[in-house]
Amino acid sequence: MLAHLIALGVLTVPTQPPADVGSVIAGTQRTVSPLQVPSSAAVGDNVPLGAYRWPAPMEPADRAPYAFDWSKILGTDEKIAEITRVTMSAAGAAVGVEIDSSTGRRPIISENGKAIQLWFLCLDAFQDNPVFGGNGVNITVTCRVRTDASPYKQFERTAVLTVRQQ
Amino acid sequence: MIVDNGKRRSLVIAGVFDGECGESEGVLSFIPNLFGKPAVTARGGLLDGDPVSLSIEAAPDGRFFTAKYRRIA
Repeated sequence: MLAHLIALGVLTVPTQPPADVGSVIAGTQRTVSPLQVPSSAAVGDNVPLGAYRWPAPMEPADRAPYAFDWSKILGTDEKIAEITRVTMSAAGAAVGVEIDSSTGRRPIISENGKAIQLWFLCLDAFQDNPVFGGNGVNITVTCRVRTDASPYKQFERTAVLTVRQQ
Repeated sequence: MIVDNGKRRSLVIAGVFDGECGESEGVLSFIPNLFGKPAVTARGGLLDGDPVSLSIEAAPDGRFFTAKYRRIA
């Protein structure tokens, strides 16, 4: 019965909205480039071996874009079709750092389909937290994407964001 | 697309921590703010007021501790 109603257009099946596509403006210091064979070096903070690290630290009051460049993993004609999931670590949640999903800053796929861009924010109430002094804190962000290959490929990588007062 | 920012929860561990911790994918994270005993020796606490058993590990850099928990019925 439901199938008939759907076929007749009386009922609609909720679907995931298509991923936003736009210009990735994060510079090289705010971009990590996952490799096919990641390093096995320990990064610390209960971070997966070989996790990538954004070179530029984030000042808690900053609003700036960061990016994953997947081009070294993807095939020549392969593109990212969907950002499936972006997850902030428990440490990030503890210190008020979030993945921004507000209009204009929600995660996007680059126009060439090879990179994604994220914005982070630190909640106002946490920006003066002493943990951001000195070396600051390292928090991890995990991103999972699917490609447009058939069958699709799925990749998940973790990157480390240093948040510290500057 | 799922954007999971985790959440903050009230956590009390006697002699170790009293405040808001972070939680993501079933793991708690906190920086001890009490100094009664080593964090890794704690075995239980109150999470949002409910008793939980805890398995606590130190992060390699010595600041954050992570804990897996199980609710005590």
